[in-house]
Amino acid sequence: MKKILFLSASLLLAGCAGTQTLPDPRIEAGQDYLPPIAVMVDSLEHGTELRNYLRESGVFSKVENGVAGEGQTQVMVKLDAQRKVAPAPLLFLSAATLFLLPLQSDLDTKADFTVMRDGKVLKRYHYENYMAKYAWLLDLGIPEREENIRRVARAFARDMQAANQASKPLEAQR
Amino acid sequence: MNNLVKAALMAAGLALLGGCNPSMKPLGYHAQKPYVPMSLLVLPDGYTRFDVQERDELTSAVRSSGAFSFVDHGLPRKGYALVISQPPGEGAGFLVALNALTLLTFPVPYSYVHNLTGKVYKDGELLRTFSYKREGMSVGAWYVPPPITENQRQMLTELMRDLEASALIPHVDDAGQVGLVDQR
Amino acid sequence: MSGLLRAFARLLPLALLTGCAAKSPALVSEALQPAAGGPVTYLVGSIGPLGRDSAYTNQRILLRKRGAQDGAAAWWGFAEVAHTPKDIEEVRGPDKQALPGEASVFVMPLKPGDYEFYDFQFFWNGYNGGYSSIRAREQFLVPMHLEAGKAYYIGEFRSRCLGLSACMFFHGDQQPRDEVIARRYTPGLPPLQALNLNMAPAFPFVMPLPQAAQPAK
Repeated sequence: MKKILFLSASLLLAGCAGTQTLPDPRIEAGQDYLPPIAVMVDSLEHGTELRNYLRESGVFSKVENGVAGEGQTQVMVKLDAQRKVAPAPLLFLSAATLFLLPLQSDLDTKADFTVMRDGKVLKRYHYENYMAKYAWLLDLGIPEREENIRRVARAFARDMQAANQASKPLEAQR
Repeated sequence: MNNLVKAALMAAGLALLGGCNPSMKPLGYHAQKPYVPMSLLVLPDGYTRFDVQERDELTSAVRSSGAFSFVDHGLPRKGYALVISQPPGEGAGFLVALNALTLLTFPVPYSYVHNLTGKVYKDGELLRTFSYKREGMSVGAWYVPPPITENQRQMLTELMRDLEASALIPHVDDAGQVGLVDQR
Repeated sequence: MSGLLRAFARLLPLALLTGCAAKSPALVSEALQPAAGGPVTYLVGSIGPLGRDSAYTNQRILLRKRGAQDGAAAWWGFAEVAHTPKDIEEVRGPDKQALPGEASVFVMPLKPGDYEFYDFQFFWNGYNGGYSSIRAREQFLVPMHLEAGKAYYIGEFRSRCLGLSACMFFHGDQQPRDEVIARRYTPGLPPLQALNLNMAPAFPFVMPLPQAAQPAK
């Protein structure tokens, strides 16, 4: 009996770590900063967050908010971050057990990045990151949700860096 | 008491309570053409539950009008931005709070002044300020819905109408934002 | 029981006093701390409020390793429990009403590499035990390259708040003054070289110190 309890408890605890479909993108260190970009995100909730994560990636020398100037790269982001939470009856049930019952707290993110310069579209990128998490007791899953957006931002930064490297002449290869 | 009378009283009570739904009705304005990608900033900027709720209500009301094709958050250095704020006015005072002793049953009157301003910025420069005000008297009791929600709705409607009439922010052209919106 | 109380009574003043000792104004996360005997680079500067307005509260400037979430901070604190040393105390200026500001000199040992100054923080303890803080909503990027065996002077960050919510840092250069104090803390400090960072990306949160506000050296 004790073994079953222990196993189920550890299963519950282990299963409460959030999983993300997008792996943490690897960004090469030691490269030159890319020229400044201006980013506009079609999301009032996550716009600033996404820009801060782009800054944190260490790829861009400057990430501005708003419209780009002449000759500056403009990035328009359509961000669709859907939160999926457990239906109300399950929520009440879990509350009745003082949140011992894990609740679904997912975040599905679909992002479209459009890179433009002087009104011309240069390239489009598309990323998806589905995060599944069971929130339990005091673990609301906030770091996992932030990590979800962070990985999407880093994926774009990695791809921009790779595109910049690819367009450089051979003597820039280190 | 008669069962029918009981049911009727309960229905009347529920109807009264239902009419007290505090959430905002949709704006009386619907956009013909959306604006170009721009930024929106709704103040107050606070993180208390009330601030967040109020901000979300105002934001969703304004977005549901269909005026925005693409809306970002903040006040950018380059580009168009709309800042919606509510300068302090007057509301239910201490006397109404005291009315809680009567479980908000006794009708305590108070006068209110509700303000709303919309500021349009381009490239960080203030282009124009639209100010609206609603004054009146109301009663602080549970059976009287507070006027602030309806006032906010009316003032937001006026703001969106005036904003369109002012032609300060360009609209998305008829060809649509081909470069910006992924046509899927 | 009385023995325990007596022991507690003896330890209490000691505990209070140790808690009152000044804390180091340089905070470096474990990942960025230089390995014992390994290459080290130093970042030196000063931080503190210009005067006794709302800026006279816990404040810090935040740095991170480029491309990572590992951070370090230079911090100035004023509280009964945690505060930083009063290395610099301003002489009263011509305005007799204005109370003098203070600053702490920080010497931050780091692993050599690329770093970014990206944010700042002011925080207040509310009267009812609440807590409020200010950070830049849209962060900024001031990159710096720190090499091993060198010590860099980043400048002095003196803060001022207009009201409660508009707080900023003024960035100035007090290398001769701060170098003396820094060498007292870290005797083996390599010769200090000016970093001369371009703080323009951090505008309007960091602005050049107006000449009139330069305190007497």
